[in-house]
Amino acid sequence: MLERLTQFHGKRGWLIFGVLSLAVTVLIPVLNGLPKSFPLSVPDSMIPLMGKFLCFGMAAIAMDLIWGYTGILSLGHSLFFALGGYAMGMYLMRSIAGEGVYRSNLPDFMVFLDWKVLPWYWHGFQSFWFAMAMVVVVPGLLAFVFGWFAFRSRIKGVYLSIVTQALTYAAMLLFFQNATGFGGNNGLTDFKRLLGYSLQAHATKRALYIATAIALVATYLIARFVVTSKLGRVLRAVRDAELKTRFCGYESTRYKTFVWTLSAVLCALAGALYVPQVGIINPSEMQPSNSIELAIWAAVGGRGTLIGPLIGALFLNGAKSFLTAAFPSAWLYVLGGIFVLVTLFLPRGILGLGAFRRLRRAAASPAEATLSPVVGSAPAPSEAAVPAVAVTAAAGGEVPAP
Amino acid sequence: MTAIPRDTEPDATAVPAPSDESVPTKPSVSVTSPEPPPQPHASADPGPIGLWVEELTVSFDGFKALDHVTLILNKGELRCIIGPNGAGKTTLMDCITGKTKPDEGHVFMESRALDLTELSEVQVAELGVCRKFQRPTVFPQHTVYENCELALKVKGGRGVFRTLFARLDKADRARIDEVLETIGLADLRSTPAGLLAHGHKQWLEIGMLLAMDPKVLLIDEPVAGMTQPEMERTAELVQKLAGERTVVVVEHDMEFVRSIARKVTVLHEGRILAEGPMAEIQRDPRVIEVYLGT
Repeated sequence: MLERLTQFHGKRGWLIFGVLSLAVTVLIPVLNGLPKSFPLSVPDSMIPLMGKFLCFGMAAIAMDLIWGYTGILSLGHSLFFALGGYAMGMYLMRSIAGEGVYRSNLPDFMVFLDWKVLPWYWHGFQSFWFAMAMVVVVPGLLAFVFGWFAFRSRIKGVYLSIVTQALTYAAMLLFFQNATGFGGNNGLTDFKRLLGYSLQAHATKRALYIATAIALVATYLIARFVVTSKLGRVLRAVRDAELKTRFCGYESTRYKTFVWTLSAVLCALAGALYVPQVGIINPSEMQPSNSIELAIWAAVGGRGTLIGPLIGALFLNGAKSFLTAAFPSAWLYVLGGIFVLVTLFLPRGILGLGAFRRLRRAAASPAEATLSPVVGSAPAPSEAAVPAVAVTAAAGGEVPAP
Repeated sequence: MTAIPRDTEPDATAVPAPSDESVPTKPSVSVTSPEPPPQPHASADPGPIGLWVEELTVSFDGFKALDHVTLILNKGELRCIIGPNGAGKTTLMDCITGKTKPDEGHVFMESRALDLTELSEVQVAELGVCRKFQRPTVFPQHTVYENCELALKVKGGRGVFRTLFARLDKADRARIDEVLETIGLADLRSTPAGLLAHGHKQWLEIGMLLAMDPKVLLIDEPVAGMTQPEMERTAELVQKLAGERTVVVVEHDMEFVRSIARKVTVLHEGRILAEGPMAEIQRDPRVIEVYLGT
């Protein structure tokens, strides 16, 4: 058991992990509780914003499982995110039945549309636990069925990306319809209480932030467990040489479906935590740009590292919040510019930078080089390939093939 | 026909005359279909069957890549298949491993109950038929050790949830160490496989096959691009593999084939041109013609 834990991280890694986890789950809420005059105090307005970022961080880790480790670029993860959000939104709407603008037992938008009875698929959502089950079950089931058929048909690479994008787009159009029964264009909003606590109260916001931080830490640990298991090694094998993996006797379809479904469920949980903190869920959450942004977070941070996409999500969203306030028109150029720069100069993302520096240091002092001397005598397959693999080796061998 | 090729005795008459419109293996067509044919055990030759390829035919858009090919290998036999480019060697491998579905014919292992051509690659691999590709395919980002770990035959099977919680026990570790020792890569165990030299990659791949503990090994061009000493080492390795396992080696390099072969099958344009011991094959005028041109 202990040995398994050391596979997660080395001693230093666990230390960093512990410090960061405590900082995000305990320190920030404590700082927020300090009086406003205190220099390090975190203002109340920051708490929901940071909670939102942490939700994006969860989604980015989920994305890394499927893209960084398994090599499947999904452009459908905003769908799973939104489905989780909608399930949470439905609970928030139903739990305040009778307190809406129209004092009706139905959600306001249904009264507005002159609906008399609750659609069948809204039943049960007045219960928090039922709604939480649906947060997992609906996106999980959709991902499982979609993944099973897509992977069984050996749909790969850019084709799979397009199919996932199309699925998300179709779902968006469906949710835009009033007749679908999820509030159409406006989505679900005007939430009041979660489990009886007012969403307007700051204490609730802080509790939601803490819940999100804990969920993020848990997501990271689950993902870490998966990628350091033998299954994780099979996933990377599928990414690098799927046919060979099949000849080794691993049914790659099942492995891909498993990680796809897991990734979708983690993403949906992030969506469910996101909705009460931003106060609205509508179909624009499923628009293509959202899925693409999710991929950009992972690429900028560094795929196949778990921590990289998390950093990417926090960094880019922080920059987005700041820049869209300071220079509203500049943000898209900045995002595009960052993406181009990372693609050209940092194929391993921000985390690849550290690995590269380590390699330079190793090259400067050959005695410290970690690579086996035999490697040096080996005939280089090609000039370009060797440095790329060498960087990988220095990074711990968990970076996807170029 | 079925009895002839498995004779270990040199038998030149086993080679059917080409340029005849009748397909070499035609006589057995009536025998093979639906009823089981007379068991080869009935013939004088002892030993159970390791691999039985029967009347395999594959065509791609009308071009016959394999044309009624029949091969019978004893258990533990080491067989070399040679032939010029386009002779159908790789297609034959593809059919045996379930990658390509043949138009006609069957592939059996020890019993006739199971036709490998009806199974997927994964199912074939589970039965213990392993294949080494022409180009060395290892997992480049995994270490040498991890490559062997992934290939290692494990008791619980290779299901998703078993793999998620899989741990290497003492016996597993010992087995991997043994494999690394055999292929001579024990010192490179924590090197990413992508950084290995070409010859080392080939050995690693053979090691991975060993770790899978196969019954039948198919090896495609193991010495392509190897130096002389590497080639000698590979010949040693391959010979070590045979005995317990049935081994099929496809190779161009005559030097290598001569050094390992006990029995050679020559494929040409999808048909079996000749079969027998290496010395005899080399004297066969038709083989010489195919290899040296007219």
